[in-house]
Order: sequence, then structure tokens, then C-alpha cells
Amino acid sequence: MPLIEIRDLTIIYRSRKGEEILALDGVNLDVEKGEFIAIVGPSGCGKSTLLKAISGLLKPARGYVKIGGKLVTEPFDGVGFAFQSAALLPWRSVIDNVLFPIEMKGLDKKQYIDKAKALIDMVGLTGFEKKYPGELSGGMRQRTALIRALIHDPSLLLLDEPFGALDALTREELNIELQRIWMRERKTSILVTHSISEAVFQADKVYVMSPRPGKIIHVEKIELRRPRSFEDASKPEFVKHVDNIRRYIFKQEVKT
Amino acid sequence: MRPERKEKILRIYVYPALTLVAIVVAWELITRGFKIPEFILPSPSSIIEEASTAIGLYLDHTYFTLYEVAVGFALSLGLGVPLAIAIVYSRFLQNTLYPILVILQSVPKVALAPLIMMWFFRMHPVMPVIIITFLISFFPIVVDTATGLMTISSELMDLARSLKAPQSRIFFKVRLPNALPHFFAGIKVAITLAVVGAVVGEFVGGNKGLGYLILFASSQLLTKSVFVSLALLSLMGVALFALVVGLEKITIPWAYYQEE
Repeated sequence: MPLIEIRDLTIIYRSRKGEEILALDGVNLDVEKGEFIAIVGPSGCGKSTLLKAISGLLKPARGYVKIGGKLVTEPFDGVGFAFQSAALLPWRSVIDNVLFPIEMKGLDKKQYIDKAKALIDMVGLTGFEKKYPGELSGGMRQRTALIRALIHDPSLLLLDEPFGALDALTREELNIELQRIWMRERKTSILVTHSISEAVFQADKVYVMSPRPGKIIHVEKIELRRPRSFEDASKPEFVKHVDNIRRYIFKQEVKT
Repeated sequence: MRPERKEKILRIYVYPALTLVAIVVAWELITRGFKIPEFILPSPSSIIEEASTAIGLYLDHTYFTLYEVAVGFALSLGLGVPLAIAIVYSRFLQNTLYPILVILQSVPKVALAPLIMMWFFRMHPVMPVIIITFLISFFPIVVDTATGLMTISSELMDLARSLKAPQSRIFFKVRLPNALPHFFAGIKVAITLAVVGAVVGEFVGGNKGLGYLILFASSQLLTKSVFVSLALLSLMGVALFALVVGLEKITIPWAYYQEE
């Protein structure tokens, strides 16, 4: 049985003007435990909506999400979120940002300080524990956000374009870092991204979504050996995957 | 000391201070050179002399005005902050009261002074002054605090909700600290306006305080006395503002780091 089972998931938004907007239309998706999947698609296709629905922040109009066989009807306990904007709390130092989930869950902060320090060390931020987000570079902020998503040992990692706002070089660097973290922790992860090569680089499976209303139109299985590197991006098997995915996205856009 | 730092101190403190000294010297020379009558424009030296001979009297009025400012401002804090919190958590208040408050903010509260005087003078002579001070500093506190509590990134709220944190914890650990920069912006405007409010109140119907003194002294052509009161009022305004800025720097040092 897959860890996450999504069937016929349909989400309808009500816009400010009161119109109903069909954001997701009958999405079916399975994610195995320990699997890394990526979701690519054009802007506004409902990728982020899908993540929110999986975590239980949005209620489906039709269909369901099950995690570990249990129906998700409220915010699911045990999810680690990372966003494009990093969404750090500017009034908290790096270490206190990393410990934020612990505090919000009402757990004992002291018991997690060593773990927080180890995570900070893992992403090379040792020495910056007491710095505020405003003093950090974009890459450092995103590293902090990434380990904040891991501190409470979630069973599911939801990455909503975490590197979308970074420059190309920092982005590659952080992708390599993310792969390293994933290979170590093997956490079930869902990455939403605009970048096809990023998706191919990270994932076991890449799901391609159509423009709104979002539907899954293609699944690309990536069986490249890990650790992958960005030098591999020019190799024929990597390029083949990228081209294939691009064809699906493009075809759909021409049609609509 | 690093050269940039030295440059900054020169720019922020030394140059303006020197300019001020130059203006005062020029003022002194002009009043002496052109023999300007004292009741039109007294010289800086005669103003200082006036202040030193009757320092007790001036301080007495200063304390009184400060007292009015403090009580009025404390009232607007004590009522404004809870109201802002209520507005943020009540859809009803958000739709009914908040828009009215935003509109009322642009109504000149000073124009209400005679009315307030008429209504509240009989309760206690200081009452109307305090109410005017309160009224004028109340709006920026409510509106800015409410805005600060409401402007929170949706991602941060999603994160907090995904961690299943109770509302009270989200309030104290996310919303409240997030609102502090807005809150202080409101407080900075409010404290300055509170001094204006007290002076206006005293103009309209006070019998003590620096505003009252200015009105009385100018009616007697005691221009020196007007200038001493003005100087003390300015000092009070600057000192109160500096106090708030100091408090802000201690409370929210993080807000001074450039974010993106």
C-alpha cells in the first residue's frame, strides 16, 4: 500500500470576487514510502494547491487524500513544509527559527537543541546560529528553511518551489545539498518546481500537470543512479527525460 | 574607528549640530545688530536668561503638560491595542468598525477640541485636555496595530496551521511579534501627536501647562516667555520620540536588519 493515496482529488477555490475556480480536477497520485516525487507544470496549474490539500490545509470538493491509510480531514500531523519565500520569522535567530516547529507543537525545546545544531552543521551554517534572517543571504535563508522542515522528524517533506527565488548557482548548490539530505534521511518527499531539470535531478518520478484546472497528464520515471550531479544534466539519458517532460508541458499549452 | 563610521557620526550628529549653532549665533547677531524690539524677536541670550531666572515656574508647567501627555497616551495605548486585537479576530468588527476608524483617522481631531471642552470641562478642568490628547493619538495606534496583526504572510500561517498549533500560540509566537514593527510605527506617530493634542487642549481651555503659558504670555507680549515654552515643548517632543525609538531598538533589533 502506498504511503500517500490521492484519488479523484478536486479542489474548488472561491476567489475574492466570489467566483468559483476549479484549481484541481480529479488528480490521482500515489507516493510510496521513502519515494521522492516532483511535480512540474506551468504557473497557476495548482501545484501548490495540491501540496496544501495533501497536508490537509485545504478541503477537497471531491475525492480524497489518504496518508498511511487514514483519510486526511484536518492538518496532517507530521509534515515538514518549505516554501519559496523561505518564510522565516525575522525576529528569530537561525537556531530559533529551526526550533520553531518544536515550539509550535508545544514540545520541549531543550531536547531538540542538539538536533538543531546538528542540522545547522549539516547545511554548513555553523557560526550563524545567532544571526537573524535579515543578516543572511538568500541561500542561507533557504538552507535554514529546509532544516526547519526536518527538525520535528516529519514523515512527509513538502517542498513548494523552495529554490525558486535563488540565483542559478546557489540553486544548483542547494539542489545537491537537498539530494544529500534526502539520501541520508530517505524521507518521503514531494517537490513542486518550475524547473524540469531540477525535477529530473531530484525525483524518482516526475508528475507533469496541465494548466488550470490542474490534472496529472504524464508520469516520467527517473531511474538515474544517485548521487546525481549537474554534470549528468548533459548526458543523453538525462536530456531524454527533460525533453520528454517538456514535450508534455508544451503540447498541453499549445492545445489550450 | 572605521572611516565609514566616523563619516556617519559626522553626517548624523556633528553637521546638524554645527548648523544649529550657526543659526543661533546669526539670530543673536541680527537681533543685536538691528536692535529688534524684544517683544517681537528676543535674542537667544535673553531667552536663556529668562529661562534661568524662572526655571521653577517653567518646569512646573512642563511637568503638567507631560502629565497630560502621559495620561492621554497611556489611555490610547490601553484602549487602542485591545481594540486592534479585537478587530483582527472579529470578522464583525473588521467589517463594521475598522473602515470607520480608517476614515476617522483623516478627520482633524483638533477641530473637536471646543466640543470636548464644552462636554467634559465640568467633570474636571484637565479632563478635556486628556481626552483630546487621547483622541488624537488613539487612531494611529489602533490602525497600525491592527494592520500589523493582519499583514502576515499566508505561508507563515500555513506553516503554523500545519504544525497544529493552537490559536493562542499562533497569536503570541507569530502574529504579535510580526505586528511589532507596525506597532512601533504607530506609537512614533502617536507620541508626537499626543504632545500636539495636549497643547491644543490647553489652548482651548487649559489653566496650566506650556500651551497655556504660550497663550497667556503672548497675550501679555511676553515674547521671551513664549520662546522658552516653545523650546521646552520641542525638547519634550524630541525626548519622548527618542524614548520610543530607544525602546524600539531594544525590543525589535531584528527589524533594523535589511530584509531583502
